[in-house]
Amino acid sequence: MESSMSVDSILNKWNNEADSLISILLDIQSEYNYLPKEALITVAEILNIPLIQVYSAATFYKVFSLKPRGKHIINVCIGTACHVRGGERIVDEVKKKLGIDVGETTRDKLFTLETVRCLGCCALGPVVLIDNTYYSHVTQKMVGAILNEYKKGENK
Amino acid sequence: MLKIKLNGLEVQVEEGWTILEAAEFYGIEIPTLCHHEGLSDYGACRLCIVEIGEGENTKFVTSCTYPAEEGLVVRTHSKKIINYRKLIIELMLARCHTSKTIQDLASKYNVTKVRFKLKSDDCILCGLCTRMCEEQMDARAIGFVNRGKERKITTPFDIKSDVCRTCGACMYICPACELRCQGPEPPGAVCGACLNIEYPCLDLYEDVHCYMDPCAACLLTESEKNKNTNNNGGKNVFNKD
Amino acid sequence: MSMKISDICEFESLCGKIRKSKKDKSDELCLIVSSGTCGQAKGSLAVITALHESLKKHNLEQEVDIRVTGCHGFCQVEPIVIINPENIFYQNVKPEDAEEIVSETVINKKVINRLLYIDPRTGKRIKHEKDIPFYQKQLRTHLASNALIDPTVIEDYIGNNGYSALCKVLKTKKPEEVINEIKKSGLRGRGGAGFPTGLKWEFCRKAKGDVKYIVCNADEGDPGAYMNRSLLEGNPHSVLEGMLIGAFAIGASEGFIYVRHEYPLAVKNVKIALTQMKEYGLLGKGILGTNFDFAIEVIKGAGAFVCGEETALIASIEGKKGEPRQRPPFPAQEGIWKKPTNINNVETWANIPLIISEGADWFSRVGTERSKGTKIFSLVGKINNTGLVEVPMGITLREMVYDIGGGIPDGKKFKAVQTGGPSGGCIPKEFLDTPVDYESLKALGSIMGSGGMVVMDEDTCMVDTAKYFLEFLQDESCGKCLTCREGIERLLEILNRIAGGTGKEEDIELLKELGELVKDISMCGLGQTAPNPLLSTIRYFKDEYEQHIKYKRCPASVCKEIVSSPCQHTCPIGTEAPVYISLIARGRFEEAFDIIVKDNPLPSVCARVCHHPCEFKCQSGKFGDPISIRSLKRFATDYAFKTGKKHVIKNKKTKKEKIAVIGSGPAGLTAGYYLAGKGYGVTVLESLSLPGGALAAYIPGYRLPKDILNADIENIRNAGVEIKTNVTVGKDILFNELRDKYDAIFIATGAHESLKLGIPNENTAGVLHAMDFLKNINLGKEVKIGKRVGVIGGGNAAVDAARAANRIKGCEKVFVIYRRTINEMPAIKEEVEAAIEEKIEMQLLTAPVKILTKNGKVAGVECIKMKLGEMDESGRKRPIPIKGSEFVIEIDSLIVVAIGEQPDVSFLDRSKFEISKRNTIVVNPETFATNVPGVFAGGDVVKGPNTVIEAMSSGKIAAEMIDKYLQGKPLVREYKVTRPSMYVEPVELTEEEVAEARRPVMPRLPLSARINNFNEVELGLGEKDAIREASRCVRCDLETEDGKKQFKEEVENVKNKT
Repeated sequence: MESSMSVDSILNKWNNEADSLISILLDIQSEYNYLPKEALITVAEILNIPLIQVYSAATFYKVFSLKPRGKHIINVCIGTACHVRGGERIVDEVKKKLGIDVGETTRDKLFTLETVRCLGCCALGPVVLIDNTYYSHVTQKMVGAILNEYKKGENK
Repeated sequence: MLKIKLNGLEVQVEEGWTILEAAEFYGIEIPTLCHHEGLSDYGACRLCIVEIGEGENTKFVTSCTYPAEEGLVVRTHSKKIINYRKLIIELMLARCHTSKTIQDLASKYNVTKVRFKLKSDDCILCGLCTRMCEEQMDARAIGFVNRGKERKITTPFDIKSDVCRTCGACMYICPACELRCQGPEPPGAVCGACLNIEYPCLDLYEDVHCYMDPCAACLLTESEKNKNTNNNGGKNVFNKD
Repeated sequence: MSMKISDICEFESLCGKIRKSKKDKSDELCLIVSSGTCGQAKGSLAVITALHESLKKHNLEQEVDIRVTGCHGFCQVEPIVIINPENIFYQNVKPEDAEEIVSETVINKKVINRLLYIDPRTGKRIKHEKDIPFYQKQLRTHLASNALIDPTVIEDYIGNNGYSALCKVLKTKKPEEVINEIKKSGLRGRGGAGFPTGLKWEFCRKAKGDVKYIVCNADEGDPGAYMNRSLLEGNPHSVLEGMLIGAFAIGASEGFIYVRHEYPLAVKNVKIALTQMKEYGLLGKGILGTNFDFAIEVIKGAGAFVCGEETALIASIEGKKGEPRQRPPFPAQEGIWKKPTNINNVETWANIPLIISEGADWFSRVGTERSKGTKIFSLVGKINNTGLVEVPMGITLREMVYDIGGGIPDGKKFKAVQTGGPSGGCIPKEFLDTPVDYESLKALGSIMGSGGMVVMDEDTCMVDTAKYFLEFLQDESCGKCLTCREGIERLLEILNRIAGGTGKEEDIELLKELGELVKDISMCGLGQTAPNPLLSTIRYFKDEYEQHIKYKRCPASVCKEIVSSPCQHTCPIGTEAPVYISLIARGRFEEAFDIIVKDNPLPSVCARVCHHPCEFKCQSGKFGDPISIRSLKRFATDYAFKTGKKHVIKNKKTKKEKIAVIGSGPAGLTAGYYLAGKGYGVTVLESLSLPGGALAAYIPGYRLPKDILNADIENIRNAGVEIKTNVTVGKDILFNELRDKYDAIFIATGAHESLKLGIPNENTAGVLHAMDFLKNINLGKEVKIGKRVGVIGGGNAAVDAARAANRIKGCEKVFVIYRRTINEMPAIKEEVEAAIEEKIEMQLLTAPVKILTKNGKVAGVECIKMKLGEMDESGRKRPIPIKGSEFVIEIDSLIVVAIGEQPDVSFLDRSKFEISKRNTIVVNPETFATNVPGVFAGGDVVKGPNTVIEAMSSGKIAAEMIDKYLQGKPLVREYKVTRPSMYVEPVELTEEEVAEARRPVMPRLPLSARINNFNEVELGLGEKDAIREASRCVRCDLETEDGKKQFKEEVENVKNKT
């Protein structure tokens, strides 16, 4: 299986050490945009640890997703500083515009909406991070325009 | 041998004992839920808490995990601890009120009212089953998954586990799903457990609502009561349907 | 440099060369660009590229260096470009500015003014960083280095004296000596707990075992805190050198840096630094030729705040889920893989090299007795200067919020400062003078924490704040121990009830009881500190909880299920603004009028004179212009006036009881209207010759035309209210006679007695009291004033008097003399703007000293100029006179606004009625009942001088209570959450329409048409403007659960479309 090959090379990079489980999972998620079930089973086999231990860790940390995610990950910051400046309204606006809830992916698999509590850019709040691009001082009015940029990108 | 002070008494205990073991040895009963002699200590239910230290340095620790140290001062039944134990039991009841083990704890410690919304979960997350599966049965089929409010015990991916040998040890050891209350049988009637608890519905109504239609008024919020729903807001867990 | 050095002296001499070279270069041209994550988020990378291109264009690439650094701390003006050696500070730099910077400043040595920082206090532009108020009270031991170092160039760090401490340690110190030095310095852990670092190192050193580990905890999870990020991004070597020294002292051979996943730039820069260290031989086996081995591994977190807790962090490094472990055993004895482990925070490590190279005494010279050194805080939230600040321990909160932070934006009031992140508490304004140190903050129920400091203002709800932190902790809790998991869930359950309007009286005690349990009994630091925000808000803001529970009110207008729309919730009479606005947007003007009138018997009046508290809470106003709620009301009432639509009132006297209302001001008229509506006989007694109270007596006609006022009053008459003018209670009829004749009495006589101003010559001819002046004009009496008129004051009365005086024939010039700035004038903003438009001269920051007379008449007023000094209790800067700045304004009339009008209650028997020291009638605040059964009072006679809408509110509530009294029912108020009586379908605007929409400008009478008359100045919005403005409303009423259900199909459609 093709995915298995990549997982093997990631495991090799970390010397098949069980202590590096978190780092291994991070690399797998980087590669596949989520943690496929088969990958987790392979990891448990090769590291020789119980599958439940791998699954436990995979479900414990918020960064990991066990479901496939969209092409663009929208991270709306709802840390204290952004909250006090109305970060939740931005989340609501994105929810409304895309018709999905937090943690969900749009039907066309273009966007996944997630929230994060603090990106460390508090002076720029409310902050939205889409993939690697930061948007600062975001208002409800700006949300539609920002999302449209990515939608337009698809139609090219 | 070490010397500790247990409820004002200077006693001798073996090196390596926990406070719980020391107390048990001297006949002091400390309630527990997630503790089991044959399994490793977990310290999750917090029921066995005791006070150690004196004055400003007082701390609360779980007696099942805290090792006895030379000169340790321990109080197992202070006023604060008794109140905290009652509140912990109240929280447990709010989550799994159908568990006879927890109900017995409630009646023993005189917890008569639950001021929170009843959840009717059938797992108290004590971890006895996972420790049983790992330590005694060496299967490691189940474990804790997710975190915080979403924390639950299950198999990987919630599907049938390859390593589970269906030995049933997890069910045997479970305090919540095992020994479900076996009270009197009439449909819609109160089971034996509720006899330990005050009826919260009497604060608002003239009759105990367990017998009324709709039943389970203790589970309804203000607005649900006002809407006068016909379905039981929480669950009428005592109905067999 | 890729030559691995294996001799300390060789390394030192190399460092020496680098430092000398840097010193020699310090006069050379250099452009420093701040480019941490914040800077990059605001486009610093594009600025850097543009600067490079510009330099290339001018062939200056060899002469001028561009140094890309990390955060400087003044985050909100990023990107920052500093031109050295002149040290010119440019802020908010855009790529387009690059060319000008190079050609003007670098080449021509000219300063570009528009890129300089403007001091908001003085309006002056500032050239150098050190003169910027934000930096002045800081002690930037660490942050200052960020500007001097390119984090990806180890030589920059060395050039800044980096690694000299390491050399000192390796050459001359034994591990125990290092530990003693750290102990002596008094350094305490900067991660939150504040445990003495030296002592912690000693525990680990003394622990049994050959293999030991040290860890740098960079899992900075506190939302709102990003100090560690800026240190790791901007000066990673300072942390790494600290770790080297720590490893040496403790005897560790391996170290880990655990960085949270959300900091990719920090991870990148740390890895670059590690590579460069290895190249120099500063890591690995036999460092610099000694037998000290040390290796560092970077480990990324995966999104778990709890991993900031030491035992959870250890579990994570071991590849397990981040579940904290029981202590004992402590990490110093059994940590990673059961080996002794020492964990310290990023900032703690960063302090180590400085303590070693400068000495413990140098470090401990700063700070308080038990809290030494400096600390970096992230000052964020509702604060003017957001950013990272480094201050000596012991600085007060007040200095941080006002001197460094610049105070609260938009003129809002300070409410609380939250320190310590989700483990900390909220500190109210009473404690602003508390020094910032570990013990003082703990005593207040908060903690220092990692340094997050979130400032909150009047628009922050403390119940919502407690809820917010508990929601965060509920997400982040590992869930193992019952008290944390179940406890936090139940605390939230109760808080959600309170915020949803279904809270119960017992809830506060239950929250405290459960909070104490979670605090004392939970296993790890997360659970043990989780209730802090909640418990501190209950401690200091209990009344806010009670407001939510008892009165179903959220004073900050945040809790959606209670508030629905902030405008409706804030309105003292509960006008359904969202409904009439949405009806106007749909063109249903008559229905809009009906909605207004339902709650407001003086709609045309309010549409012109209300101070519109609704607009201050408008959600649109939070990120743009508030909706013109008052102008839209006027549009609807004008429409009704024009089309002849009347209030539909049934004039039916169905009850036998009669009520007397004393005073026909807004309070009295409102009470009368609602009582008549219930079928009672109502007689209003007014001592002046015309009805309306302050509305008729004081408000000038150009603001409130007579015919408009009379039309509203006529409607009230038609509702069955009898109004008798020229009747003064206490003179024409005694109060006791009223008691015999009527079944209930409502006293609404207002507050009109002026106090003296207290300046010499107040009683001279030509000095007028503002209220008398305005009353005489309104009553049609002849009013004589001079050519040049001065008005002292800044409130509505002063501005009204000024604009009125300006219209009187013969008056040529009017001055308004006010001791503070224009932003602090209490008068309604629109009135002040109009006054300026009408060429009234505002003499601001000016105070009167003496009235000058000539021949027994006013000839001038001697004034003194003021400047703004320190912040006073109210959060405003106190004006201080500038010595020697006295000057004279020549005037021949002086209008003086009295301070503190008092009611005249001489008609009441003081032995029977409770009267306050200020002559107000004391009533039950909820029911407006006096201590005499059957007698109620409301409006200014109870509250002192207040607003029209507040008076109307008391009249409305009193009417309800009087009705209950007469029906023999208990005088109890029922409180409900705010909801509109109907939901109107929202108007959907396109993206462009939303982006372009602006608050319309109210059309006004041209200046030429205003001369010497009192014609109405504001003309009202046109229909197109009104509909467009009404469509701009964001419809907060649709955001409650009830509101969301209304147009559910709409939402489903969107879901199905995508």
